Amino acid sequence: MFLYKKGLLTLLAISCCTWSCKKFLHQDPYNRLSIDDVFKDFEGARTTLVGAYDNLKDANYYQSMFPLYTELTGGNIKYTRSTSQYLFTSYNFNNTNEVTTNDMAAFYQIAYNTVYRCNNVISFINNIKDASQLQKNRMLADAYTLRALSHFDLVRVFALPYNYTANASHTGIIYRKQNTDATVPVGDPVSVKEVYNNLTADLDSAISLYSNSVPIYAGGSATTWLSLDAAKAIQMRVSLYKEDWPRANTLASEIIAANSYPLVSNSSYVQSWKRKTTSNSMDQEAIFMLFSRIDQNQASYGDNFNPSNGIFGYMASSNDLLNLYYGADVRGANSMFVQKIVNGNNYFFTSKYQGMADTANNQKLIRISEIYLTRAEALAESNNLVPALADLNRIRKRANPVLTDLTLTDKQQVLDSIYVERRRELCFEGQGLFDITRKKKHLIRTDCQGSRCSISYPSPLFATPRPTQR
Amino acid sequence: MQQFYSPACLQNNMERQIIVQANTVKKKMKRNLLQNTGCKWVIAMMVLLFSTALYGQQIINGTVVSADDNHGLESVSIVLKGSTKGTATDKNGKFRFSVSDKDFKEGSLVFSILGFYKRDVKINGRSSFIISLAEDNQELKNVVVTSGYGRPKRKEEVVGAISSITSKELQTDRPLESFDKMLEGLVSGVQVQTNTELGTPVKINIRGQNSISEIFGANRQGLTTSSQPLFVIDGVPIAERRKGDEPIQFGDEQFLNPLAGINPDDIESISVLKDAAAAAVYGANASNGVVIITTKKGRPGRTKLNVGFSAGISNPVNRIKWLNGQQYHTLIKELYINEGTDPATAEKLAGSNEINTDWFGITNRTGVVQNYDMDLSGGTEQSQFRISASFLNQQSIQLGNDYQQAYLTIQLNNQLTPKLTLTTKLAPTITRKNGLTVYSDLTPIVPNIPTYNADGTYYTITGVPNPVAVLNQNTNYAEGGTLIGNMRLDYSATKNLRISGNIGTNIGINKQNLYQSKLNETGRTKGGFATIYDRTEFNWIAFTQANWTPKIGNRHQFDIMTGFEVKSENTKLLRGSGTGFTYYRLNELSNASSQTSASSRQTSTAYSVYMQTAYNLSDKYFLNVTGRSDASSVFGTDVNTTINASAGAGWTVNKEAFLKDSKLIDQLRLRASFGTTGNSRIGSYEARGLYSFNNTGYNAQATSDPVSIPNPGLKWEKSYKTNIGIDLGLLKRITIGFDWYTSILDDAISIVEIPYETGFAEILANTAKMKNSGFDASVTAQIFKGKFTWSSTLNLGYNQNKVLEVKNVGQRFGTSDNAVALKPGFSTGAIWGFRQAGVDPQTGVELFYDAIGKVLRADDNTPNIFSIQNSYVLGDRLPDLQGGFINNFSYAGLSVSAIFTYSLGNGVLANYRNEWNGNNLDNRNQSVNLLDRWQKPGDISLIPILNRQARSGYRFVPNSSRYLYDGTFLKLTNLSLSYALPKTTIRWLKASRVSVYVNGANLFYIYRQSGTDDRNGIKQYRFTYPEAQSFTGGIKISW
Repeated sequence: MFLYKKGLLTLLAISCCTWSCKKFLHQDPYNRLSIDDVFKDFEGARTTLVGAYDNLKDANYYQSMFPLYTELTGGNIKYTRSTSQYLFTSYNFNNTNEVTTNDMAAFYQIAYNTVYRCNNVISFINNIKDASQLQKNRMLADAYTLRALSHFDLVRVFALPYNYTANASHTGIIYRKQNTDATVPVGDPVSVKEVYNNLTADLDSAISLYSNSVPIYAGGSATTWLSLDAAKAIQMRVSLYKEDWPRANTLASEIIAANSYPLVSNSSYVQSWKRKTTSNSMDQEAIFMLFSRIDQNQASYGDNFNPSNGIFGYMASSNDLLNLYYGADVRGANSMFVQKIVNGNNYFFTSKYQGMADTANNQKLIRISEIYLTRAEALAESNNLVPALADLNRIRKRANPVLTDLTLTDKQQVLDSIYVERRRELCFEGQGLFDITRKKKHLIRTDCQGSRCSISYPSPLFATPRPTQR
Repeated sequence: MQQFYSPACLQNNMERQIIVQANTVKKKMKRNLLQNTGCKWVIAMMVLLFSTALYGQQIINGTVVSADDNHGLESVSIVLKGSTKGTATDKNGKFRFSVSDKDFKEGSLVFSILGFYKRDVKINGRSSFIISLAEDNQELKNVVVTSGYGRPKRKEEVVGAISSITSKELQTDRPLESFDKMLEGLVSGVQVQTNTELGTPVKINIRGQNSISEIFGANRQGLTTSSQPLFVIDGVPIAERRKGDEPIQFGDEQFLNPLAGINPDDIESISVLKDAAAAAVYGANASNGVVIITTKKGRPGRTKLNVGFSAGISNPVNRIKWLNGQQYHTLIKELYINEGTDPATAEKLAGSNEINTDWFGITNRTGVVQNYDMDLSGGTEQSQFRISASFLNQQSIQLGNDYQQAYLTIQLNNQLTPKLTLTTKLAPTITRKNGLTVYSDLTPIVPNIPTYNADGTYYTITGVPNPVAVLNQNTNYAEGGTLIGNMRLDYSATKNLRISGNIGTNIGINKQNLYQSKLNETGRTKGGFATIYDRTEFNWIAFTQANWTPKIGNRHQFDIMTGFEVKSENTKLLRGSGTGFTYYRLNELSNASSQTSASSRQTSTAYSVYMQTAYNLSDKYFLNVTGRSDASSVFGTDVNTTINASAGAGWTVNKEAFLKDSKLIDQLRLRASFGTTGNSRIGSYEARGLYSFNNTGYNAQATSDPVSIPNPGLKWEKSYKTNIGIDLGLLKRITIGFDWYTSILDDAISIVEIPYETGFAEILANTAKMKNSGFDASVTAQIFKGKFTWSSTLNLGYNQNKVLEVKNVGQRFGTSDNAVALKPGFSTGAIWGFRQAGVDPQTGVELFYDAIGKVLRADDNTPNIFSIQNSYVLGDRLPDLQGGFINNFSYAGLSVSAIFTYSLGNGVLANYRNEWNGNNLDNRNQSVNLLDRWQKPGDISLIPILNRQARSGYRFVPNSSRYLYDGTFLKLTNLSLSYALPKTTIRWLKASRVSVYVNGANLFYIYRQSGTDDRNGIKQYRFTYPEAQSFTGGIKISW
């Protein structure tokens, strides 16, 4: 009888444990964490944002593909070799919708992957138990800014400029405001106008959140992380593309007025782009820059322009660009470029980010010089030529102190001067083609190795086809 | 009185016996008799006494023994022929019986018991008998184990497609280290894809390949679901070792075969569940079929001891022929000249034309195998035991490769109370495997270099390890253990209700030690390299179930089983690696100057409810309905429960009046079933949106990356299986089983691309639909019965595979290297490639046909013309027809068994690297087939000019018809001859049986595409490493 009971008890015990199965069936992976689990605490949530910053540094994003795309197509770069040329399909404007024949597909993927990371932060922010509201605000602000930045970069590559149609009604990209499960259709692209409206909205959210937040990251200098000023600077850039001149002017003025980002002097200019030093003064212009690891042998953006970097450094400057500098311009061939003979030809390689791997300079994504030039453009477009010229001359004379102030009175001449100055100052920083097309200029590449060197504006070729995978 | 003596009553009880252990037969029988309606023992005794007093009666007594070992047989039914009078033997095999005077003179007695031949003995006025009964395996075959849950069933009760083989048929004396390899050819519709490496799992296809082929090769982890059947041993499923969710650091770990944890000598029977009616009780894991292994148990009575020993040797057969030193020299020189090198330089580059090192010869040997086994069994009516132990020592023909395995099994049955039975099993094993696998990695190195330098050191080319040095300096061994344990309680609550609880564990540990010495090229640049992988698997399963077997009236018999099951699988992994071993002889990780480590864990759980209802009407009509619901942690939240169900019906036609007296047909059964099964075995957590972590992210912060997107719609693959079967018995000699089936696999899981806008490029999704259809048949004939017996079995499995649908994308292609694609209308095993159109006689350039028959030149640089997307089907890796042909002969103590296996219509795409137009010839040796190459204008050859892609810009087509061979073969897989020594000669041993045997494995092959002896063909190319032909001899003694 005792054994009966024991047997029955065992059976009962087994039955019982099978009943409470809900918890039993929920097993979390040990090597990884599920989304709900990551966002349970502040530390976990923060790692996902760090991962989003990592994406910006990826070879398919700012570390190579994205800025090189615009610099190659914009005519600032030429290859020093004739085989295995990176982004050569883009260089010739031959991309198609097929993933396999679109060499910007990897950028498309990583930009949306960044968006995915940000959307998770935005969706799960309220699950975080141990973060203060101020910390949450900073996380959200970062997520909104990064989401906007990724979409902004996407829309600039994969759509025609905002001003291509009068009301920006032409096709833009898919704007992902929230993540969906794998099998939910992603929908159709929205108009460029709607994309920009979303960008503005996201950045405005970020701006208001940053003002009511605290820093959340432990390491690195402040400008290696996004900030209120960074969000404003990106918003300023968006306004520039939208031709919202008053807004661009206001935002630029706010950043300049803060006095936090002094212009590098003429004498330090070249050095500030070269090897990384322990001194932060080299990075003083940066409002937002990507931190380059000293302790790790990571590849850097500058590797592409470093002719001593084995097989990678084969992106030389085009003569189209070099011919823009004259006189004692510190940015010219004699100071800012490294001359090297490759296969019997004489080439000039930019010194921007010349340090290789561990010595690479932090990659500045937006800096004060651009702010001045943007304000100049916004003012000029609003017919405030005198202050516009003041900003322009500041940049010109920093590069070449012997120059005299420009005193133009024709709006178009002022704008054209700003246009050229932007190319001189911001070359290799990811503005190339975009500055040409948003100003409705023809693309003219004279020192060119491609099959399609010049394209008249307007042309649908200025938008890379979106790689589609179904 | 009628009731008691009625053979029908006895028969009924006998049939019930089948399902109980033989151990308690007598006791239970008595109880059953008592409990049976009308079978009242007391009344019967009175009636018996009464009748004895009335008539003239004679008492007969005697003993019934087994012819095999002369020991008494319990529960043998004894019936007076032509009457309903009968009795049964006691536990010592003794019986006592009374007959009338008339019957005493003229009558005869019929002795019968399950598992033995029936005997009919005339009384002839004798009052004392010693009857010996011969074992009848055929009769044992009438009982089928249908699942790890319920009790065995009579064959005629089974409505599903189940093939069952006994240990005798499995021939466990063969020199094979695990039973899965023994199944080849023995079960119709089961294809065993043999491999040639010791201790590794073989791939088993039940009714064709049930998972879609991997498109991108093995490197992409967790790509598809498991394609292996589910193995269940005594109710405990054996977890398959496969890489799913494991971190990349564990990618190179080598597994031992988890099935090697089962001692083949312990196996009593194997049942292969093929259709939905049979397999649906395993629900979501049964899509690829289920293999149920039942182990031997102790029986009450005398303690029996069996001891066996065998030993054998093995040698490689059909090895690939490589170029010898001189041939190699000629070819490599020609290659350099073809590339424009001047002859003098080419001669210099080509190396020696005298040295000829047979790398295969010096890295291989005659293999040796030894096997020792013993088992001890016996017990009382209350408790029985069986203890077995084995040791296997196998040395592969390849140096540096050997395998040792020790097994122990303890099996106990205890009748705790009349109603409660406890069954306990514990089966630990220890395995050690040395696997340097020098061959596949290293052997085809160039032949015109020496093994040793003049000073006795190993000759080395930079980057190419010397195989002999590797054998002597490196180690790669795996030590492992498995433990299969099981505890089961059966409680007979009432006559018709039994409640069972079962807890089983399956534990596996595997520790691989790899050391690559800095003295040779494998570890030179790292200063020596060592890795230790430590894997622990702990899986447990528990189920509780109730069995209710009510009988309503005389005709309606039900058997209802319902239960819950909980399962948990846990894996823990640890890896340590080190480089820079300052002193080469000390190679523990603590001596490494640089050390790294990694660890990982995985857990998956499942919870299931199952129910099976069998209905038997008049023993003629059978219905079976099965359902199972499985919930598992590996899937997303909204679909993590799936229900599989099946229904089947059977009709025993031969019991109908119109066939009852047929001389020709003694058995005719028709069966039909339909149902679903699933395949849930994909890597854990696939459906979850997951983040992986890294310490060194942006700005030296901890970072995390999303590695998969939430995919809650990911669901279990489902197979819709239909089966129609017929079982036919003719002339009491021939039995035919034929099953026609289709199986449609829906929602097959594979990786699909998703729009980049989601943030990801690909996910696992249920995208494909595939159909397997065909038939399997088994024909067994007792050609001779009597003193000389000859029985013959032919197993056939015919299968056609077709991909029906590939959702979203319509079709998917793999790579030219793996020549795989998924395209509706074609088999998933199809070989996609280009038909060779010969070689241009003027230039030696290889020519191919494109899909529409246009000739393409290999030096045509148009992009993508040879991409897999432009290829077409050349053949199919899956056979049309495959099976075995088994013949058993016996005469007196001598028996001979021959197992032939065959396969028809399967293509084999040989490794193109063995014959690569000379590409890479400077780094490795290639096939002698290259001797027939094109050399000068005007040559007609199928092998183009020797050249290397890197230099010439010439295209190689790895999926060329040139490497495609017809895999159709017939093989004498095993021939064994055994002789049971006459009792007189073994009397001094006091043994009940002594037999000696010899065994030959892989004795001969016939390939349809025979090829020539001096070139490589299908024979040589079928296996990367050659198969071994082995001969063993052994002795078995039973007490």
